[in-house]
This record gives sequence, structure tokens and C-alpha cells, in this order.
Amino acid sequence: MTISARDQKLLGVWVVLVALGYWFYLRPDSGGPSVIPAAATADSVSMAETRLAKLRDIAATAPAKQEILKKVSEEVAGREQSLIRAETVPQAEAQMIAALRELMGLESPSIEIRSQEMLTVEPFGGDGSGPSYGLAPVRVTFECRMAQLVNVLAGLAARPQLMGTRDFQITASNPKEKTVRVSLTIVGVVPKELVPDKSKKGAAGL
Amino acid sequence: MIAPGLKKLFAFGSGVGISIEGARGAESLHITAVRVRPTGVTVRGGFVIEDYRNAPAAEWGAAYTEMTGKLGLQHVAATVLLPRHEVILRLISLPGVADKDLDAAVAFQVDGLHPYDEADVVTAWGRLEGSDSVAVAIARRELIDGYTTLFAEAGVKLAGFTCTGAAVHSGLRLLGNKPAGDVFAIGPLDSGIEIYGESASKPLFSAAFELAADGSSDRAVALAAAELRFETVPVPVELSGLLGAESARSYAAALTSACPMISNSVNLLPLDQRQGRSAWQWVPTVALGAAVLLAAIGLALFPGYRNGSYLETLNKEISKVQPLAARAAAMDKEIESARARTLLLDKVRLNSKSDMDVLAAMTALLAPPTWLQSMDVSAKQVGVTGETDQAEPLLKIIDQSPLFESSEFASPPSRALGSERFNLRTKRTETRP
Repeated sequence: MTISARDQKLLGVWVVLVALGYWFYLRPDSGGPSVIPAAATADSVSMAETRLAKLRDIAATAPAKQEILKKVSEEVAGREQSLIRAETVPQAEAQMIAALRELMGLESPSIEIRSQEMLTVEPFGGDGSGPSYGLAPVRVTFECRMAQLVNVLAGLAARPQLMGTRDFQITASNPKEKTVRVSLTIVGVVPKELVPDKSKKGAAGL
Repeated sequence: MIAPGLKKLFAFGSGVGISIEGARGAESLHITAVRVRPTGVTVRGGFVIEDYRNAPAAEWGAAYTEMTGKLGLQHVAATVLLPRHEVILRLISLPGVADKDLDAAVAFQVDGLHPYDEADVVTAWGRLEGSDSVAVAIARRELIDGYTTLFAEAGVKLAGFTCTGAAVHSGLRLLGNKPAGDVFAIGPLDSGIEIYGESASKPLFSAAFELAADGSSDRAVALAAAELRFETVPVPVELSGLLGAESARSYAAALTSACPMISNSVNLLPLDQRQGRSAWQWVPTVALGAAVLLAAIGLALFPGYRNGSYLETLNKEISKVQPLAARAAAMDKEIESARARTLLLDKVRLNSKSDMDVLAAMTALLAPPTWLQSMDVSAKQVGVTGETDQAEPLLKIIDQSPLFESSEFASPPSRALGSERFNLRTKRTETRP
């Protein structure tokens, strides 16, 4: 052998560099670009391209959707201004009775509420994550003429509060004065916080 | 065997050839050093050690070492051309014998090619390029051992022992070229001539001849020409002229020393006694092999590497786009939810109007003489009790309204005092929360 000491050192350095290069670029968990069998990645590349194209399409709609969301959010917020705001259910139902009394007081002769009944607040709207709002029902009975009843119903629809009829029963009362007895159930939309939590109620009952 | 066309590419190396020539008992060593490249052969130097047998081996060995050292060839193992009279060269034809079967085929015939006991001889053979013939060299073992010891004492590294015929034949084809037509050459010997020839019928001829008493070589030439079966006897040339070197034999041996892989493999030195050449001769081969291997690995891995890199880029882009896409998808749900809540709230406000429509419709549909005693309006249906002259048509009348459907009597109508009392119910077509 005639390899000099210097040449031997150079050869050693070359071997070490080649080994380092292999280690850096080709080991599976290297920081360098990974090498994946071509056949195995062909499908992955195709899938990734398709996925990226879809995501880009979806992302491109984001600005327009943002505008639409802003618009519909404003609309729903405007309507929610008419929710019956109260800290408790009785307070909310008292507001509804007061509104009804105000309507009945506008009639001539004014209509007197003979009885009133507060019913349990029910969940209203929403999905599996919970209700959107609550519906507070109130039942009142009174006697009036048919025209007055129609006025009251029309007045309800025109109120700023979100209220409406649920059901009513009309029974002939005084044929001479053409009055009828009315049992009217109205509902008002209240914030969902006023909807009683059934799970808490159950727990309390234990 | 390397194809003649590619031979030139492998013609790399430096070599030293030693030819033992001269009168028996007073031989001299003719030494030639060459450098072989695909572009040609360069004679680096040469000298003669006279009467080496009568000089101490260490002495002429030192001269040899000095000469090779000056030329930078101290690492090169020399090829020694044995005296013509000490080697028997035979040519045997083995048509159709594959290379892998060559050894067995020659070994089968070799006994008949020499007069010695098998154990007393060393044989070597090699297929002649471009023919079915095999050159077989035979020398006495005692002779080979003697030369091996002598050169070892002199410190001369030996790559092999060969003979003129094999070395010249190989040397003429070293760079992939081939003599055009017949070859007929004469080289001087101490007491005669050596004739080398190639012809269509005899791919290799090498023999020593005594000169005639008058010093003429005509008879020898005629015998050789007859042996070679020339159609037209060519004018013989000097062996030195044929090879292009003054010391033709040592030059031919040097070519074999320089490029052993592409030279004829007729080497009488036992394999275990052949000294290696410089490890540097393998450097180009190893470097080229490594480059080819790396290139092959690179080519094999490149598609995967490219796909991997591309996939990585795609995934990075996906991770950039994904949050915005997810936000867009989430906004779809938020828009849907907001719209649903808007509709929900609007419906509550419309309840009163819807009920008034029911009231007005029933008033219009159930006109006198029908009069009502009670009406029960709920979200899904309307119940009515009252009196009329004919109750049966009421169901049809009510169902004709777009607000009602599936009207029916809750209880059968009953007749009393000329009228019918009825209790009916009907479904509202409008859905309400």
C-alpha cells in the first residue's frame, strides 16, 4: 500500500462526510426533505391537491359569507331588541299582562281581565346545544264583543314586544249585548336564560 | 473479457517490464517503464542490467529500485518476460468452449503439451482475443521458483511471468486496435532469431530458430511462413518495429504490467505470489463506481423525494388555507342559525294575525243561519260548536278554504227544534310554532 498518511486522513474525512450526508438527508425522521416511495405518495399527492383545491374554493367564499353573516346578524339583533327583557319569569309575565291590560284599556268600554294564569316558560328554537329563546305563556279570561277581541289581537301584533297568540276559546255569553267569553293564551319571547334548566330541577329534587 | 471497443477506455496505468535476454549463463535484464493512457503509450525510461546472474541480487536490485523510484514507479509490480528457450508455448483450438469451461478444457489437454511430469511444471493459459484458440505457456516449476526467489532477493515486486508470444499478442491489441492483416516479425536472440507471427489459420505463432551456418535466417523464415500458412508471404519486420519500441520484449512485458486487466492472462507466476499494485489504481474505479451508485440511488429516490417535497409544500399550503376555510364553513352555520332565529321570531309576531285570519274565515264560512256557540282555536286545529239547518255541508264548505283541511265532526250532529247541533273540528293548513 502506498497511501500516505495525509491521503488516509482525506479518505477518512470523505467517508465521514458521505455518512453524514446520508444521515441528514435520507434517515426517515431527518430534518431534511423526507424520501417517500414514489408509488406510496402518488395517491397522497393527488388527494392533497384535491383537498387544497376544495379548501381554496371554500376559503374564497369567506369574504362574501362574512358580509352575509353581518347582515343577518344585524337583522336578528334588530328583532331581538323586541324580546321581553326581565330578570325573572314573573317579571316578564307581568310585563305581558301589563301590555295586554294597556290594549284592553284602549277599548270602549274597556275590557276587564277576570282571571290570569302564569304558565311555565318553554324552550323556543335552538338545536342540540340548547334553546335560542324562551316562550313565556300567560292565559287570561275576559268578556268582550267580537270586534273588541279582534282589536286586541291586532293590537298584540302591533306591540313593540315580541308577543303573539297561542290559542283561544270563544264561548257565546250574552246574546243581547253580543258579548263572548274569551280564554286567551298569549306567549312572549324571553331570553333563553329564563328557560328553567330541567337538569338542575331534577338534581334539586333528589 | 472486455469488448475490444471498450478496451481503450480501460487503458490506464503505468508498468515495468523486464525481459531476460542474452546468452545462457550471461543473461541480461532489459527493463522498460511505460505509461499507458487511452491516447497512447509513453516510454518513461529503460535500462539494461548486464550479466545479472553474476552480480549480487541486492546490487542490481538497488539499481532497479533507483530507476523506478526516479520515475515514481516504485509501487509498480513488474512483469517478467522469461527467456524464450525456457518456456513452451502451445496453441490449442477450443471452438465452442465457453469461458467458464475453459479451465477444465485446457487442463484436460495440457498433459500432452509438454514432456515433463505434471508436478514439475507451471502452466498458464489465456484465450486469444477474437479467436477460438487458447495460448498455453508451460515452464518448469524449478525455474519459476528460482526466478521468484532471485527477484525477491533483489527487492523487485513481481506481477507475473509471461512469454514473448503472449505479451506481444496482447500488446498489439492493448488500445483496442488490431493488426490489419497478417503479422510476421523477427526478433534477435543470442544464438538465433525469434519469429512472431499471426495469420488467419494460426492466430499466434512464436518460435525460436537457429541461424544457418552462414548466418542466414532464410530457412527459419521459410519454416515459420509455412507454419503460419500465409497465402502470400509478407516481408518480415523487426519485432521492435512492430511494437514501436527499441527493446520490444521488455516493452511488451511493460504493457502487460501496466494494464493487467485488459492484457492476456498468460501468467506463469502462481497467484499467491503475485504482488499487488498500488491501491491508488482502484481509486478512479471506486470513485466512478461510487458516483454511479449514488446516481442510481438518487434516480431511484428522486420521484419519492420530489413527491415528498411537493406533498410537504401542499400540506403547508393546506395548513395556511385551512383556518380561513374552517371559518367559512363555520360562518355557513352561523348564517343558517341567524336566519332560522329571524324566521322564528317573525312567526311569533305573525301568530295574532294568523289567528285573526282564522276568526274572519270562520265568520265568513259559517254565515247565517248558522250560528256558533263556541270556537276553540289552537296552533294546529280549530274546533267549532253551533247550530245550523243542515250540518253535513259545513265540512265541505270549511275544507274549501285554503286555511283548513280534513274537517270532521267531533261528534255526530243532532237535530233538535228544527235545527242541527254540530261539533266539528278542522286542521289548520298553516303551521305555527
